[in-house]
Formats: sequence, structure tokens, C-alpha cells
Amino acid sequence: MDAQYYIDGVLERKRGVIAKSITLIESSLPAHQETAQTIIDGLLPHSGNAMRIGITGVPGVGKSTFIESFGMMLVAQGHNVAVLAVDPSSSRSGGSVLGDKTRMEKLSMHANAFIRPSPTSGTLGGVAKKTRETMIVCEAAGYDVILVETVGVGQSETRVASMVDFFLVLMLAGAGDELQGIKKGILELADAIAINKADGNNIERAMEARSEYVSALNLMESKSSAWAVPVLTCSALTRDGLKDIWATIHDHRQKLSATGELAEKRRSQAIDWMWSLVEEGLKDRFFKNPNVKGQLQNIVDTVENGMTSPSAAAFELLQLHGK
Amino acid sequence: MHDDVRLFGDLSAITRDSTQLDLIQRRVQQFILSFGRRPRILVCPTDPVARKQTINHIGSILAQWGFDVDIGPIEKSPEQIARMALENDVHIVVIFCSKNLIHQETTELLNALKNLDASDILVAVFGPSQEFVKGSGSRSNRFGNADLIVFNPKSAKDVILMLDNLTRKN
Repeated sequence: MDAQYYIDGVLERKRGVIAKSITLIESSLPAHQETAQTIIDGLLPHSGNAMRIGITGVPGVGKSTFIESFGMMLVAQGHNVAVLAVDPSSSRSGGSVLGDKTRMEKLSMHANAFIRPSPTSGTLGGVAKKTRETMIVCEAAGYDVILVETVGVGQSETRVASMVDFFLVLMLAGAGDELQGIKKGILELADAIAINKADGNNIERAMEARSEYVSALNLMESKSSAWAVPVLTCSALTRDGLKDIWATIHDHRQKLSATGELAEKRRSQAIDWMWSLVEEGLKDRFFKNPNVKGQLQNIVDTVENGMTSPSAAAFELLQLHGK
Repeated sequence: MHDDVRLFGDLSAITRDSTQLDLIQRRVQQFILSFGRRPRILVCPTDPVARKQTINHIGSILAQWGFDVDIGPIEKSPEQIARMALENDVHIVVIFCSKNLIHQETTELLNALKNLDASDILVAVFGPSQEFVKGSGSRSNRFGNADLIVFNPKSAKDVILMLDNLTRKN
């Protein structure tokens, strides 16, 4: 199949062709990557009109259930929703277990939804690149809301935050983790915080957590003069608060569009994207360089044995690459 | 004891044997070199007896072998399973079912895949013994344009055979 087949199929929103295009984007084969690049170039003019929303939270916060309820609300309003799940649990040597759809039972069967979990194991920092391109495929196919789900541990949320318009952080009340240092980084990325599972006996605690986050955010410098990060409560179970979150996302879009910040954000994201591609390309070339390949294991061994210092070894490797 | 429980024991046995595990992992590496990604497998319990915990455990074993594993929801219709397989672009769907349902379940799933123009996706069955399926046809039955593979891995050889089958198909 040539690239045009995929471009046409994506524009016609053929589910199978969208799926196969994403596979090409994720593939490690140079021939696949070349086709994927042509597909992306062809689809790029048809993309860019969607709401790009990143959603993160620690495991157990109820991300998948939230996306199920939130996504169902959006499709009921006539939106077309694509869900991209990044960085699911994966072991280092083996493959990944991707179980997201099990908790998105209704959304995963809806005619106007597309859900694709992507394995991340074995990619050398390629997650961001692939998700960005996958987002373009979904937008070109006519999905006007893209939800990018990521686990709130490690670095994936920073990457996801750098490719979306709005970054929603889900939190839990009374999990004993409020305001700990490790959460600070994630709060800095947030455009809104939502305390999930604010239902039943938990409502009161959710409200308490809400005011704690509000005061914590007051101490932080705000990212934009047009936007103060709100703290909301919601329940994916009872669907309380979901409409408010959607209204908040709209409000954010309007305010930042008016000040030109949204356009500026997308421009700087495009530059980020370019640099991440350059970095990946350089890394790729480094590891494929025959001089490097031939000596790499030896040099690694000498560092391991303490015979060479790490900096001397790095210098030697870069010299080999430059030869 | 239910079939899939017995089979779960078999999977663990392969994983505990480092020689067998190594054979599978090396075959998976070859697969990655040919196709640019890991073999991706959708594990679908169609039978309520197949408990979630069992399925998750099997999922993690398959991941350890080097597969990317999608876990499907329990008790979904063949159309729903087929859509998930298509959307995630898996190479293979594994369904769990009891002996009396195997023929119906697999035929329906293969038809559903065909309707979505996704006959390149293989269907494998966990559970019934090979002898049983042999009795109802051959080891690799033809259903329309799709193959049915009986997958009851007692050794790395079975897993590698399945990967060879995939390689021929793609």
C-alpha cells in the first residue's frame, strides 16, 4: 500500500486504515517510517482544529473511568473523540500490557470514538514524536477532541503537557499524598486540577482537598496572566462536575485565544517538536554508526570495570561518531 | 478444573524454564526486526469462567515473552472484539472458551473480522485440547479467508509455531 492509500483512508475515517497508519508511525522499520512521514505530510493540512487535552493522574485516580464518562458526555454532545493512551505499564525487557479499554467499555464501542493504547517499551524517547503524529492522524480523520492519557509517574506527563492545549491533572482526596513535594512538578504543568471520586462519603474530603490545592496554587507563579488554574471536584461515577470541567476547558481556550497565548503555545510546541526530532535523529545515527557499534560494548565494559571514567568514555564515543 | 486454569499452569511452566523463555524471546526479536514492532495480541475472555485475575496473569506472562498485550473486556460480542482488534491493530486475537462453545465463538469472530475487512488478523483459541479441535477439523482450520490456530502452549515450540504462522500471513 502506498502513502496515498493511507491518506485517503484516514480522511474518509476508515477505522482500519487509521489503525494501520498509527502502526506505521510506531514502527521501527525505516521503510515504514518513510511511508509514515509522507502520510503525516499529507495529513498535516487537515489537522490542527481539534481540542487537544492531556489527562494525567497517579495510578488508581480513576483516569480510565473518568475518560469513559467524559468521553461519553462529549460524544453525546456530537463530538468525535479520540483517546490516545501513552505510557501504560510496561516491563523493561518485555512487551507491555495494555488494558485501558477494559475500563472504557461504552466509549470503546461508540461509533464516534477511537481509542488506541500505545506500547512504549523499547522506544528510545520516541513517545512524544509518535503521539504527536498519531494526534495528527486522528485530527485529519475528523476527531475534534483528542484526549491523551498518561500515567502521572515519571516523565511522560511533561512530554504530554508539551503537546496539548490543555493539561488536566486528576487528584484524589484523602489519599495522604496532598501537597507532597513530588506533586509540585505536576501541579506546575496543570491548566486545571480535578479532585476525582467526589461522591458519596468522599464529598467532604474532596472539598477539603480542593481548598488545600487552591492555597497551594496561590503560592505558585501562574503560567499565564489570562488564566488562574482552577481546582474542581468531579465524580466519574456519578458524572457530577464533568460539565464544569468541559466548560473550564472551553473558557481556557477562549481566554488564551483572545490573548494570542494559545497560538503562541502551539508555535512553541512546533519548535519543541522539531528539536525532539533532531535529538532522536542524532541518537539514532549515533547508535547506527559503524565505528560506534564496533567499540560500544568494549567502552561500556571499561566504564563498568572502572578502567575508564564516564566522561573520558563519552568523549571517546563522540570522537568515534565524528570520524 | 476449567480449561483455562489448567492452561495458565502451562504458561507459567514455559516462563520458569529459562531455555524455553530464551527461545521465545529470541524469536520475538526476529519478529521485531521483520515487522518493526512486537507481536501484538488481544486476549479476550469470552467465557465468564475466565476470571479477570487469570487473564491479567496470562497477559503479564505474554508480555514477558515479548508480546504487546491488549486485554479485552469480559463477555463481549464477536463484533465488539473484532472492532477492538482492528482499532488496536493486533496481529492475533486469543479467545478463551469452553469446549462446547469453541466452534460457534470462533466462527462468529472470524466472520466479524471478515466484515470489518480485517481477515489478516489471526484467531487463536486458548483452552480446549488440540485433540478436541483436531476432532472437529484440522489443526489449522480454514474459515472463510481466515485461519484458526489452536494454541495450547506446552512448550516454546508452540509459541514459535504461532509466530511463524503470523510471519507467513503478514
